[in-house]
Amino acid sequence: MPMKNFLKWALATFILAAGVHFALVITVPYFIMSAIPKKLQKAGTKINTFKHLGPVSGKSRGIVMPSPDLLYTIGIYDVSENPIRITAKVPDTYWSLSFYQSNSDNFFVINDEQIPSKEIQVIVVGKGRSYTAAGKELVVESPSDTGVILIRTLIKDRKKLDDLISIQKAAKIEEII
Amino acid sequence: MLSKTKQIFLNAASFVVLIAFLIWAVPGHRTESLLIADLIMVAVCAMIIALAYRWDKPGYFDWAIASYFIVILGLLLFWPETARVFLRHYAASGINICLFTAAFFPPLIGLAPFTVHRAKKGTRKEFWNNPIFITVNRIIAYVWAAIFALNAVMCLYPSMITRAIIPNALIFIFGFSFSSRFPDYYLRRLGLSSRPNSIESFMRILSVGFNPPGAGDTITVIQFTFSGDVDGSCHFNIKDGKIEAFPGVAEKPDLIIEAPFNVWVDIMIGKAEGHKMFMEQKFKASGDLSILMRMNQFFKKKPFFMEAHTPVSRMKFIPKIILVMILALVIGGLSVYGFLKIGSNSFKVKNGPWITDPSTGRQDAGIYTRFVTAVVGTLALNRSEVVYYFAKTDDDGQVLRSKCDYRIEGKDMDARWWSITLYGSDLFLIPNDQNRYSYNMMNIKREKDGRYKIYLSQKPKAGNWLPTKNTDKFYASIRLYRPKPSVYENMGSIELPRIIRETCQ
Repeated sequence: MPMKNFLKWALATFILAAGVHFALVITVPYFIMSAIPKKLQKAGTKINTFKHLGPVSGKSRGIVMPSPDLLYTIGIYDVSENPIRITAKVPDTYWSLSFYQSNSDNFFVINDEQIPSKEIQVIVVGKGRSYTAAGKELVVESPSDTGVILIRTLIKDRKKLDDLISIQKAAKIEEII
Repeated sequence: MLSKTKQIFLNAASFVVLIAFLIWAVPGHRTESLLIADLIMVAVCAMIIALAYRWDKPGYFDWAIASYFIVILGLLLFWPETARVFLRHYAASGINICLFTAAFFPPLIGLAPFTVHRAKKGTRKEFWNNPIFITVNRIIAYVWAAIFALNAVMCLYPSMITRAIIPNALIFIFGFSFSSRFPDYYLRRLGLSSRPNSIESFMRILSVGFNPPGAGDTITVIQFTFSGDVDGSCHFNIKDGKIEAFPGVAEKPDLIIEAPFNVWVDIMIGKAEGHKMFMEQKFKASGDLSILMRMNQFFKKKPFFMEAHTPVSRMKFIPKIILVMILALVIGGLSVYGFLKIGSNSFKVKNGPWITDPSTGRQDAGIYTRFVTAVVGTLALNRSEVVYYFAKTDDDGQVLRSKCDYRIEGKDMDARWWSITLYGSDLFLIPNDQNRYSYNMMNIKREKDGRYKIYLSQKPKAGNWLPTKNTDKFYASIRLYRPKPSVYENMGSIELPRIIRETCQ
C-alpha cells in the first residue's frame, strides 16, 4: 500500500476510533443508569415505588462501592405524566434524600440537618412543569422525566437497627393524579 | 417517466412524516395521544407506499419508516410504558437503526443496495447489471449505513448538537456530497475512462457526455471521420439543447473533424489537449472552426460512464472498511478502558495515596468525571454532601495487594461523620466471615492521643482490623459526610490517614 494511501486509512481509523471513544464516554453513564430500573423491575419493584434494602454485606452485588454503614432505600421515578410525592420519616442520625437524573448526575440532595421536622414531603415535577406546594411540601424540578431516588440512613448503633428499619420503611412514593 | 414533482414526493414524503412525528413526540405525551398520532403515521406511510407502487416502486426506506411506526404501535398497545420511555429517549436512535438496517443489510444478503433504485433513473439500462455500477452503489450504501449507525449512537446523548446538528451535517453535507462525488472518484481510481472502442460506443459516450446548458440554443451538425484502429464516420445533430447521433456522413455538416480514432478519444477523455493536437496537426478540422473552439462547452470532459472493460473485484473496498471499523472499535474501546484504569487519576486532586474529584456527581461535571463516577461510583453524592477519597496504592505508591499487610494511621477527619471502607478489585465489599468491611468515627478504637490504627491483612489482628482475604488488588475509600469548609478549601492538603505497608508474603 503506498504511504499516502496508508496514511489516509490510518487517519480514517483514528477519527472513527476517536468517535467511538467519545460515544462510549458520553453514553456509558446513561446505560448504567438505565440498567438500574431494569434490575429493580426484574426484582419486582415497580416505577414510582421504593425498595428498602437491608444492611449491605460482602455478598451484595447491586451497586458498586456500597457503604456498609448505611441503609439504602432506592426508587425509580417517572414524572413524565404526573408529579410524585415522596413522604419519609427522618431518623435521629445522618439521613439524606438524593435524586439522580438519567445521565447519573446528583441534581438534588437534602439531609436530616436541613429538615426542621421529623417528617418530609417532597414533590418531584418534570422539567418546566408547575406545582403549587401545600403546607410543608418541598418542590423539586427534575431535569429528566425519569431518574433514581436514593435515601441513605446511617446505622449509628447496630442495636437499634430494627427501629431504623421501621423508619426506613415509612418512606413512600405516590403519583399525584 | 415520472414527473419531477412525483419523484421529489416519493423521495422525501416518508422522511417529512417521520421528522414531523419525532419533533412532536420527543417532548413526551400521553399514551392515548401517542397512539392516535402513531396510527395516523402508519396510515400516511401506507398511503405513500401505495402511491409509490402506483407511480413507481417503494424504496427500502419507505418500508423501514413504516416498520418503525408499526413497531411503536405494537409497543404502545402492549407495553405502553416502554413505548413512552423509548419515544422520549431513543426515538431518534431508533429511526437511525431502522435506516441503518435498510442501508446495510440488503447488499449484505445479495439484494440491490438502496441507492440502486435512484441511480437507475440516471443511468442507462445496459449498465444496470454492470459490476462497477453495483459496487459503486454498494459502497455508497455502506457509507450511508455507517452514517446512520454513528447517528444512532450520537442521538443517545440528549442535546441539540448530538441529536440535530451533527446528524444533519453528516447527512446533508457529508452524505450527499459523498454520494454525488464518489462514483466519479471510484472510476478514476480504477483507471477506467470513458474510452470507446467502436463508432457505436463513441456515439453513445459522446451523447451521454452532452452538456445541454453549455450548448444553449446552438444549432449545428458535427461530423467525425475516423481512421486508424477504428475506421468510419458518424455525425451529431445538436439542436434546442438536445443531441442526436447518426452513423455515416452528414448531408450538410457545419464542422468536419478528420482524426485517427485514438487521437480523438485521447482528447475526449482529457488525456490529450485538443488545441495542442490541432496545432500539431494530429487531426484536421474544416468548416466552422468556432464550433471546434466551443466543443469543450458542448461536452463534459468525463461523462459518468460505467462500461467495464476490466474485471474489477466488487469487494475491493469492503475488507478495508470492515478492518477500519473493527480497528476503530478496538482502539476506541481500549482507550476508554485505559483512561479508566490509568488516565482518570490525572483529572483528580491528590492527597498522599488518596485521590478525589471535586466535581463528582455535580451537574457541571465534565464528560470524563461523569463517566468515571458512573462506572466506579454509581449514585455517588455530590460534594455538598459527601467528599469521597479513593486509594489504589499505599504511601509509597505501590498498588494495594492482599499478599501484603498494611496499617492505616490517622486522626479524626473534619466532617460530621466519616468512614474508611475496603473494596475488592470488583469494587464491591470483600466478603468475610467476620462481616468487617469498614470503620467509622463511631466504632473505631482510638489510642490515648485520639489517633487510630487500622490493620489490613488476610489473618486476624488485634485492634481495628479489616480482612483483605485473597482478593489480590483491593482499594480503600474515605467518606466525609457533611465535611467542614476547611476540607473543601484544602482537598489536596488536609491531613488524611497514611497507608503504610508492613510486610509482604
